[in-house]
Amino acid sequence: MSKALISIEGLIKRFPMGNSEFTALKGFDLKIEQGEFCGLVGPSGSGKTTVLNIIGSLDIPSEGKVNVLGNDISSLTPKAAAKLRNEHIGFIFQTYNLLPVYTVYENVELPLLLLGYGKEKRKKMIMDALEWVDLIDKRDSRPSQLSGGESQRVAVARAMVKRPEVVLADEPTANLDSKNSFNILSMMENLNKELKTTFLFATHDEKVMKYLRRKISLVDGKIAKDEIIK
Amino acid sequence: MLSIKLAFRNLVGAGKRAWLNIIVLSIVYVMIIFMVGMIKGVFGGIEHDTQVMEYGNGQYWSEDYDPHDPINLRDYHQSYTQYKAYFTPDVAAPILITPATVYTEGRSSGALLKGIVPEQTVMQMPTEKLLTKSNYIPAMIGKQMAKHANLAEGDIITLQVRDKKGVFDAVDAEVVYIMQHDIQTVDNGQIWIPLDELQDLLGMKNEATLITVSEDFDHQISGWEFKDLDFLLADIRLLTFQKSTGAAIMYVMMLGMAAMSIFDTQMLAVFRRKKEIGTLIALGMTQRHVKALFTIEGIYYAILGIAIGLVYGIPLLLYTSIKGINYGSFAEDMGVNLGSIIYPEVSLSLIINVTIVVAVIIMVVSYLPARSISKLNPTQVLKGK
Ligand SMILES: Nc1ncnc2c1ncn2[C@@H]1O[C@H](COP(=O)(O)OP(=O)(O)OP(=O)(O)O)[C@@H](O)[C@H]1O
Ligand SMILES: [Mg+2]
Repeated sequence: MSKALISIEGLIKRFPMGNSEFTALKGFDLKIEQGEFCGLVGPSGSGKTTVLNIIGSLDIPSEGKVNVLGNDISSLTPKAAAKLRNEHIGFIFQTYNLLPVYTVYENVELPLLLLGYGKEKRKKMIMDALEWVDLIDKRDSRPSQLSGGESQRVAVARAMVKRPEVVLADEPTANLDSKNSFNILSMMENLNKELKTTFLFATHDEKVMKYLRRKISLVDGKIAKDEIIK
Repeated sequence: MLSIKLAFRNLVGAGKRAWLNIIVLSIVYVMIIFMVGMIKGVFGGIEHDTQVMEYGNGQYWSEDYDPHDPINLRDYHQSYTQYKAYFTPDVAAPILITPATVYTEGRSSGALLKGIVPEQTVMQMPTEKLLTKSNYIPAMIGKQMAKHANLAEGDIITLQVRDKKGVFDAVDAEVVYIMQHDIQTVDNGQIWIPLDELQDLLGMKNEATLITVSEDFDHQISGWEFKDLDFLLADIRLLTFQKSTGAAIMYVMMLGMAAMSIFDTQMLAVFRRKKEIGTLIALGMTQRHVKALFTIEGIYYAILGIAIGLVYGIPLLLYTSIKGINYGSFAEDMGVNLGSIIYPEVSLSLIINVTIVVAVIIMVVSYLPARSISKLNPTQVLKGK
């Protein structure tokens, strides 16, 4: 038995397409260890988001085994999948996905509310997370009042606040300029070093690739190259 | 607990649109209570007043008497001589009715001439006014009759009737009193004069068309048909029922529109907030949890709409039910001839009933859109599709 944080064996994912099926992931193996700062790279449509969704238990494999933190994704009940996401996985999206009617503070608080943490504990954790992303002074702002860079930093804080084992980041810099992109990436790199959080990106952004310590190239639903950098 | 808290945040955050819905709902809610109370007030009042004014505790009708048959009215009368001893003014009031032609200032019109014992106390009509001294026969009419015939107190009118044998006769009468109440069955087209005067005029000594009795009347009189209050008030009750059912249907439709607007808001919200739903799922909510969140959000509309409605509605309803409201045209629309002041009859049970109906409808329209959340695919909604 491998101790890998994430372990994928023979993953195949098919989507129904009218009467036939479309095979997005064509069967590959992959292991990701704790503390990695790695990324799935590849052209549009190569299946990066699909892999992230399955690792994040938002979707299930058509064939093959995907194990995340000891959980077999295929056999999770909706409730168990929600628990896995809630307790151990943080998501960061290209479009930030902040809840528009909540303040920055409330957005970051949400995962902790779902975990059922008490008020004092929540407050301390939220303030820590806002400090990591340097947004303490924006705690009462609403998402509509934030810039893109600030919004994505809130999203990073929301993903990190519960100190999950894994953060899945799908094109986190695609809507950001280079200054903000580097800013976000170095924040995530620091958190990865400090908290030993595993980061898995899906990206075709060169700026992100510069930070990656492992680059997994996905082409047409298969791993074409898997290289350790540095 | 969490859903309750988050739903409240969503509602507060949703801003104007949410509050608009809540306020519309609260207005509809108060309107329903108010209008139903209004109808109850109108007809409840009429029923009660009609009873005390005209029907006492019931009436004995002479054989074949049919109030809806004015053509043959002259034929419905019969003698009560054998029971006369029991007819003290406080327990029985014989009434003789005959059609008459009224001449006023050269104009003539038809009317019902009714003879009644002035001293009677069975009906709450102020018949004692017929004891007013006059050189003519003292007559009493209602305010509607006075208005339509353009009559005032002190006016002299000529009454033409046909006596028992069919012979025409005419007498002058003085309007000694105009009744100011709103009971049309003793008002419109009617002239009240002392019973003995009418009996003399028609040659019908000790005869009456009907006898109104009080609760204390405890004799059997044969040859007369007893009509109890249920029978006498049936028309009014049917009218009340029809009007309040009609109005209730109308206000349920209004409620339906308010409900549609909430349904629409929530349905739209489910589509507009797909990405948000996906995000909540990614953060660790189950779809059932999100569904509960949206349902509770809808239920807040009901709770807040009702709560706000109660805050301004209760004082408003209390105030109007004490002070009454001037609603003359409303009364005419209802097809009844009433006074212009109406006192809505708002009871706790009415409020509770309307509250339950409103709450149930809002919960249903909140649940239906939320139900579709369970059918969404989380990876799709995350893309906002
Ligand atoms: N729900 C779905 N139904 C049908 N086809 C799908 C579905 N989701 C993804 N696909 C298809 O699977 C393939 C891989 O999609 P995926 O979103 O994983 O690509 P990607 O590598 O993330 O691309 P991009 O860089 O554009 O985000 C694409 O061809 C896509 O059209
Ligand atoms: Mg993608």
